[in-house]
Amino acid sequence: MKILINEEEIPKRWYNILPDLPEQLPPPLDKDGNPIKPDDLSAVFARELIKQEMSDDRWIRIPEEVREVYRIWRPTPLFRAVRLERYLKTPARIYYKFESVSPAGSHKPNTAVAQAYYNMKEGIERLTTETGAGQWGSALAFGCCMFDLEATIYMVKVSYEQKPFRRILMEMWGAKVYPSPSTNTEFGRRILEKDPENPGSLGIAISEAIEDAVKHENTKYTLGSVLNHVLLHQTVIGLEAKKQFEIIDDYPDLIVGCIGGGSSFSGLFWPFYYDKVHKKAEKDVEFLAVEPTACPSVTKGIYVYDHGDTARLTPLLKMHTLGHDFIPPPIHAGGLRYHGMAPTLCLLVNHEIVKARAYNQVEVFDAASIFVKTEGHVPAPEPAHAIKAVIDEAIRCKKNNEEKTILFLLCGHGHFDMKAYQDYLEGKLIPYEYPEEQIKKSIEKLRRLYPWIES
Amino acid sequence: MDRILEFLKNYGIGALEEYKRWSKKSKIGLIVNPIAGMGGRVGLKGTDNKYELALKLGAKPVAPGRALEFLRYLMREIELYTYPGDMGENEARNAGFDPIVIGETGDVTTAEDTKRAAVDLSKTVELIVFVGGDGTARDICEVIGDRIPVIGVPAGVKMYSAVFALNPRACARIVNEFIRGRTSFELREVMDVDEERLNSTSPRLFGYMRVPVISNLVQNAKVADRGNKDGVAVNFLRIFDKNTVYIFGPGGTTFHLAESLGFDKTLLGVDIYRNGNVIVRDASERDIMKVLDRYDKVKLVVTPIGGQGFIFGRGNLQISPEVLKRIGKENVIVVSTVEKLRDLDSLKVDTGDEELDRELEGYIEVLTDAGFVRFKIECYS
Repeated sequence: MKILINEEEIPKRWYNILPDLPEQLPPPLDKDGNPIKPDDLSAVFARELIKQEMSDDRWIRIPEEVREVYRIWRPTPLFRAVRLERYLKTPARIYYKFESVSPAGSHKPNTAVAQAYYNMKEGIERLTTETGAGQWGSALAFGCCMFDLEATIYMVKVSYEQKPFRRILMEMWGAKVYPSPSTNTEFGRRILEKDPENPGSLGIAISEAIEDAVKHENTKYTLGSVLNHVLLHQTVIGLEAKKQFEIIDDYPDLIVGCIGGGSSFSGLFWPFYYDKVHKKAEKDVEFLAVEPTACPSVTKGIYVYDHGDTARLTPLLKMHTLGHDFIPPPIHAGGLRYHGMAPTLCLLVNHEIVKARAYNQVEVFDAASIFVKTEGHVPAPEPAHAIKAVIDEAIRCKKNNEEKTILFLLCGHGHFDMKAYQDYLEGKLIPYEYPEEQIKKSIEKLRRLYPWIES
Repeated sequence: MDRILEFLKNYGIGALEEYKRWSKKSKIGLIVNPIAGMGGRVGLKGTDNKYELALKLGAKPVAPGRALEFLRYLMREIELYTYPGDMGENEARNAGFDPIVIGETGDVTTAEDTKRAAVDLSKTVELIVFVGGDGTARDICEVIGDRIPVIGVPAGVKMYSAVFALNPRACARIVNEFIRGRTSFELREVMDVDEERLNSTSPRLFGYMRVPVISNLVQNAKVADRGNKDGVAVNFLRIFDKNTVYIFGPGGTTFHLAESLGFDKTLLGVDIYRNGNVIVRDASERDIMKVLDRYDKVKLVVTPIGGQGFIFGRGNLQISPEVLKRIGKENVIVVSTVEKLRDLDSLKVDTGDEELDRELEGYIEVLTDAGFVRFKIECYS
C-alpha cells in the first residue's frame, strides 16, 4: 500500500533541530581551543550554508528553485509493508519512507541539490567533493547538473578501479571524476611521489577536494553528511512522512533508521522529535538508530572529546568514538563505516532520546532477503540494517500482541550493491561481530588520554 | 587548509592526521657502526673490543657498503638524521642524501657513541635504522628499549637477534613501507652470545625492541636445534671422501660431524680438514683462499642457523663472496637435522654481493638425518 501526497505538499521549510536540543552544542574549535568562526569556513563553503550551519532559526525556507528540482522525484512515497506484515504474522503496522526513487537512488540529493543551488546563487562555478563508493559523489554530480555547475569528484582510487558503475553515472551527469590520490593537487602529487601504488582513502580524498577548492577561484567544497546544514536539508523526508501519516490518521510509535554519519536518519526523525519536544503528538514516539556490529561507535564507543593531543582539554564537540586507531573491517555497508558522526545525534543518544542497536551483516542480509521477497524492493546494505531491527520489533509485537506503528527509512536502493548480494547468496559474507579485543585496546587508550571518563 | 580540516575534526572526520602525515617528510634516523662485521672475514667472532686486532689482521670495513646498499633503495623524500663522519654522515652523502647531522664523535667510535647517537636521534626521529650486528643492537636496546621503532641493516659478524631485515634491500623496503604507514609493529628479541666465551652457540636474550615488520622481510631470532645430529653425522660419513678437502663452517651440526670424524673443531669458527688431518683451525678468508689455491677437490660444509635459515652471511663472513665464487654452488654441502629444517620456510643467503645471492637462489639437496631433502634457497632481493 502506497501513501502519496501531491507535489504542492513538498515542504516549504526545512526543520533545524539546534534550538530544540536538550543542551546547547559547544561551537567547533580549533586545535588550540579557539572557536572556528564563519569567516574561517568561507574559503570552502557557501555563505548561506555557513549561516545555516550555525543558525538558531527553527525553520529555514526552502527556495522555490530547489523545490522545483525536488519535484523530479518528491514527494517520495510512504509504503505500508503489508506483505512483510503478513509474512511475519505481526499485529504491528510497518511503514517505510522510500528515498530510492531519487535520480541518484538515495536520500543524498536532498542536500546535494540545495548545496548546489546556494553555491550557484553566490556565483560559484565549480564544486568539489570526495566520495568512497560513489553514493555522495553521484548525488552531487546530479545536483550540479541541475544548476549548471561543474562538479569535480575525488573518488578513493581503489573504488574508482573496482566499482566503475557509479563513476560512469557521475560522468553521465557531467562530473569530472578523479581517482584519489590524483595529480590534480599538490597533496595528491606528494603522496604519489612517495607511494605510487597508494590505494587512497576517504581522508586523502577529502584533503584533495578541500585543497582544490581553496586554491581555485569560484570553487567551493561540499560534504554529504554530519554537518548541521546537511542534516537539516534531509528533513524534507520526515516532514513529508508526517503529512502522509495525517492522511491515514496514524502516527509512529517507533522510528528506525541506519546511521553512518547520521544524515538520513536525522532527516526522518527530526520532525517527529519536534512534535515530541513541543508535545504536539498524542504518542510518545521512540527513536532507534541501527549500526553494524563491525563498527559499533554508538553502541560500544565512549562519549568523549576524541580530538588527539593538544586540544583534548578544551570543550570540543563530544562524539561517540572507538578511538582514532580503530579501523572497522571491510563490511558491504560502506556508508556505515564513515568515520564521522553528527554531534547532534551523539548528544541525543547520550540523553537516551535516541536508542541504538547493532547487528552483524549476515543477519542484516537475511532480513534484506525477506524484505526483497515480500516487498520486492532491493534495499542498499545500509538501510537493510534498519530492516533487520524492524523485523525483530515486529516479531516482538507478535509475541506481546502489541499493535505498534513502526516507521523506517529505506534511504536507498541496492542496485549498485549486487556484489554484496552475490557474496550473500554464495555464503561468503562474514558475520563480523564486535571486535572485542580491538575495541577494548582502543578504549583503554582513550581512557589513558582522558582519565576522568567514567565507565 | 589546516583550519578546515580542524573544523571537520569536530565532526569526527579524521582527514587532518592523514593530511599532516603525508604533508610532512618522515624523519628517519641512521646509525652506522663503522667497525661492525670487520672481524668476520679475518675469523674473529665479533668486533666488540677487537677493532685493533681486526685491523692488524687486515680487516676491511663492512658496514659502509651495507649502509650504502640500504640507502640506495631508500625513498628520497625523507629527512635523514644521522651522526657525523663514518657513523652515517659519509654514507648518507655518498648515497646522495643531504642529511641533518647531529652530535659529535671521536676518531675511533665506540659503543658509547652508538648509545649517545641513539639517545640523541630518538628525540627527533620516528624510526632508527642502525647498520651493525648483535652488539650494536644490544647497545641501542640498552638506551632506547621499545620507546621508538628500530630496525637493523644486517652488517655484523653474528646476527642472532630478531631485529634485522633479511638484507639491506629488504630493510629499505620495510622503511619505505613504514613511511607509507603500512607496516605492523612487533616487540622482537635482541640476542647476543658473549664473544669471550666461544663454547656455546646459544645466544642469551638481552631485551626487546619495537620493530616495523613486513612478513618475510625481517629475520627471526636464532633458536636452538634439538634434532638428531648423530643421524646427520652417520649419513655424512657415508658420502665422506678421504681425498677431498672439507671446509667446515661454524655451528653445532658441523661441530658434531667433525667430532664423529675424530677431529677437534672450533664451534664458531671455520676449520679445514683433509683425511685425518686438520689443515687450518679457525681459518680466516685469506687462509681459505690459500687452501683453495693449493687443492683441487674441495667441499664446503655449512649448516643453516636455527630459526633463521641463513647458510651464508651470518656468523661465517670468512666464507666471503670471493671464496664462494671460487668453490661454486655445486661444491656446497648443506647439512641439517630434519627438526631444524621443519621450522624454516627456506634457506637464506645474504653474502653482501647481490649478484651472487641471486645466483645461489634455487634448490639444493640438504643432507639430513633422514637422507637428502630438497630445499629452497632464497635471497629476498
